[in-house]
Amino acid sequence: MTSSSPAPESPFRRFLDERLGLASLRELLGHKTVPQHKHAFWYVWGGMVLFLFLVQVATGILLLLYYRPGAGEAYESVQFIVTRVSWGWLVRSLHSISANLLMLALMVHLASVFFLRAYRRPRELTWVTGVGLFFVFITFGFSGYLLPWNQLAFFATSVGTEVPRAIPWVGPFLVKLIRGGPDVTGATLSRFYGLHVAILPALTTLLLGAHLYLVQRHGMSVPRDAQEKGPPMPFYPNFLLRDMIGWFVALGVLITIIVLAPTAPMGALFPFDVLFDPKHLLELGTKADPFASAPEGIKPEWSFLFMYQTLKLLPAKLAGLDGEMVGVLCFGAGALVLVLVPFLDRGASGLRPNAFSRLGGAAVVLIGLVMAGLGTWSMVVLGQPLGVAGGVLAATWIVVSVLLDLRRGAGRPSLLFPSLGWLAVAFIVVMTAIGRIT
Amino acid sequence: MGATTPSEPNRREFVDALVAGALGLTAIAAIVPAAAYLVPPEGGEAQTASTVLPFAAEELAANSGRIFKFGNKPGLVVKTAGGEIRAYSAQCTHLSCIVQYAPAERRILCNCHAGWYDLTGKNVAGPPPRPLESFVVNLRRRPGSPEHDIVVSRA
Amino acid sequence: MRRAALLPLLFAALAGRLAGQAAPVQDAAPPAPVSACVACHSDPARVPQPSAREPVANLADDIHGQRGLSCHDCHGGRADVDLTAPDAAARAHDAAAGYVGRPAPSAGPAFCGRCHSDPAYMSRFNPDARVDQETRYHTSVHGERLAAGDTQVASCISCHGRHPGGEKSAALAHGIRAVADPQSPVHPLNVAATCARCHGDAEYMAEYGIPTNQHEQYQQSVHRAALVEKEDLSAPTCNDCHGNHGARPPEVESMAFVCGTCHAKQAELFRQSTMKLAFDEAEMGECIVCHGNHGIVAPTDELLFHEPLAEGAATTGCYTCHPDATDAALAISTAVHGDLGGLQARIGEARAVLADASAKGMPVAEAEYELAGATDALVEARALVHLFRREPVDEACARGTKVADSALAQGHAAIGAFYFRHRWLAVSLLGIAFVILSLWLKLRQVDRRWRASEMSGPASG
Repeated sequence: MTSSSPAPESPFRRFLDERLGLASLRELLGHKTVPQHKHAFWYVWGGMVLFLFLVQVATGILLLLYYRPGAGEAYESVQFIVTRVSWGWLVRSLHSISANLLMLALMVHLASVFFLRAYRRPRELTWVTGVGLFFVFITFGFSGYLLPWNQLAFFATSVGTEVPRAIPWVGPFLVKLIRGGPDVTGATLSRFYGLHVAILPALTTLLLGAHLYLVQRHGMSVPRDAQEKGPPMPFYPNFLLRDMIGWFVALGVLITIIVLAPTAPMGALFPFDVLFDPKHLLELGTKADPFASAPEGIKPEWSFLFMYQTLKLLPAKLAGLDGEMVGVLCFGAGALVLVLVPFLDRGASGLRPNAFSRLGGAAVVLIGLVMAGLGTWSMVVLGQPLGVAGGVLAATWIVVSVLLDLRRGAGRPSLLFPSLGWLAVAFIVVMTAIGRIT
Repeated sequence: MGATTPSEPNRREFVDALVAGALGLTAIAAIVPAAAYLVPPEGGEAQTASTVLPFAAEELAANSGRIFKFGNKPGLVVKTAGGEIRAYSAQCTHLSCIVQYAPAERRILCNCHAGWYDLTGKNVAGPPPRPLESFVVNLRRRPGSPEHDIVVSRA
Repeated sequence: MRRAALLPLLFAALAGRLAGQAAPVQDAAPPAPVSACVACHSDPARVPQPSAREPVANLADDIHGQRGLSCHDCHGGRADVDLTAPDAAARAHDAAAGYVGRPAPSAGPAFCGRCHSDPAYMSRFNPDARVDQETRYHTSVHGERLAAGDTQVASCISCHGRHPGGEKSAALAHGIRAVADPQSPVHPLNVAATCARCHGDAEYMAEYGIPTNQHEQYQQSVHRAALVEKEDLSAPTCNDCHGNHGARPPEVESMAFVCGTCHAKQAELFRQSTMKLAFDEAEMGECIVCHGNHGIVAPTDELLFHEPLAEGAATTGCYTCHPDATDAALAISTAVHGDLGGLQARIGEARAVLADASAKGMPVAEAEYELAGATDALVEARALVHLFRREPVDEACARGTKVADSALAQGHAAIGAFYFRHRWLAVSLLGIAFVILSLWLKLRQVDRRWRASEMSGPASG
């Protein structure tokens, strides 16, 4: 079917068209194209995130019909779902495992957009809404983790909500705000539940709506140095079919993990059990008991692990300042940088760097060097040679990329941002690995 | 237009049918379990935490105790001499015999091996190694009546 | 000055002791000013014999010393003599001043009883203190024999005193610790060893004609394990069954009452049974016939008659009187044994299946919780054995079996669900593969058409 010969319209279609104006939608769909080039593979990941998110929404709504928030009933209600409700085990397991795959897909999507510089003008707001969604999804994960109210979740949340305390001035207040009190209690559960089923979905609707609208408006971004191989592919049906094949593959992976994880030895579900322990995500464990001592080796789930591990490794005092505070502030700065990337990396769009970008770039370099230096210094203090080597490498890399940048002319994409991106990736991967292993 | 062979429309229809069938199957494979999920299972709601006792708070005499069923476990509800209502698991922590309230001593006795618990549930004499599990007691006014329901729930 | 300070103390102590009247209270905590007795008997120059100085050295450890009492409070005499005077010793050890010196072994109980049987005096130190030890002692076998002139038997110091040289040494009367003090020979953890000092010594006990293996047997017992390993201080040791001051072996007909002070349920059931009459008539000691007296081990179902006794096997439980199978009443025992064994096996089976399901990742917490009810029923059934009838045990076992069966069924269902999920996974993966295949076929088709349309010119694309 070519687009020049319109399909015969059924009376049903005409009915909807007249009232909903679907014609424009179908036109958009018909005209939406996807460029073809050697990096085109990464285009599927946005759709993958969307698909997994829809899985979360559907399973989440189903869970909502049986789940009871409240310290006295939450655990039992999840137990009920998993043992007594028809297919309850599947709905809950899907929600739990898909959440983790969603985080993975999200990180791939973020990384691919970052490294391909898809945030260049005019897509800065797409990037900003995307980063907003990233933070929203992290919060989804963090709040949802507590809802079964088991020992693991309870103590992981206690540990995780301690982190903001290190922020100067507002830290303790923030902790109280997040927890609904000085400690993690049923009040925390209520708060997290409200976040998870109402506030965050509302935020997501707004941000996702904006994000998707902007993506349709600007079309798919083509990397500056990519050679287009032929004309762009129609989104419908060519690219959509590719998307759908990916979605069904993801579905297959999901249900395999769900059924095989409880008895699979670690390593059998590689690489997933390198990151998260599916068995732990599927087992209910024991009900949270605030008076019992924390289980040994308690740590947050894998997506927060790098932060937790970094804070653990930082010494108590760094250059006279509280070590944890420095760590938390650095992460905060990193998040801020992430949001502002399109505005900091002006060179990417081929425009001449302006004062702001130079300043911004300088600030980023400084932060990177400071972190590398502090990290190296703290590793020296703690006697970790690997960390020292890593810190030195990081500093060298930053310096080299800055120098190379200076040599290149204006209008060529800078090396600095991808360098920093790779550094961040390496840092996160290493910290997560250390957190998993120890 | 590219050349279309006579078999193309047939093949196209076949593949279209295949896709439609596959997606339809997927839809069914998702909707049927979801529908089954929505049907509440036998045995009602989540076994949690609380139960209403089959007698009113006022029916329980002061300084007396009664056994009640909590889920599928025995519980003991005691009204102290002062009128306060307390509830515990009735399973002795020694060898799981069912305990009883001893009004004369104002303590809880396990008859199997003469284990004693005080009114906070703490094991005070004899072989029991741990206190009795305490439950939370709430009184709820029965609508249109001066009497109160005893609602016992896990802490 | 020292003398003056001592005077009120001395009058108080003497008056209290001799007249048995209330005297000003002495505080336990601060030790009394050093009496002349102590001053002299701690001085090697004045008192060269070590044995005469030993009491003073241990006064600080002694509960009496810690309560502020001194030598004269028990031994009489004067505590306020001027040690520089030449007749100090004579004045201190003056019988006219009540000095009794070292009491004879047969006068031991009376010596201690002067204070310990006086409720008014004792209530000064412990309002709740018992004051019947001496009276009870006289009812005991030890007391009776002592009265008859046997100085080998135990009296107060034998158990409460110190034994610095270990088991075989003679008891010393100074350095007596409180019963609750873990170092006291009569602390619950130490009682058995203290009694065994005599009762475990065959030579010492030779003339009495009673066994001397009780301690050895007790060491194997479940009561000792509870006391020492589980640190349950309420577990019985010698004095709990024999009495401590009024120690005698329990009467044959009292056995169930003695054991019943803790094992109330079983004792009550036994008393209701026909076996009690039979045992009492035969002058057999009720509980101890099947369970032993000192070396009581955890009872097993093997105590019940269930098959003819093997050659040379020890006779315990039912076998003690019913060694062979011809007794018609043994049908009951065999049936009960079968019931109990059956229920235990069922519970074990259910537990194994649930553990398997749990290892497979299937949640079985509810079923395990319910299974505890079956164990409850088994415990109850085992207690009901003491009625020596079949029906009560049958009924309890039936209840337990029902629960165990339900848990077993749940376990099997869980394992079935486990395999169902695997089958579901296989089918679903096949389905997904089918979907992917069809999508891919469509994709190929759609791509081919698109490329063809592109090649023939964008206008028609």
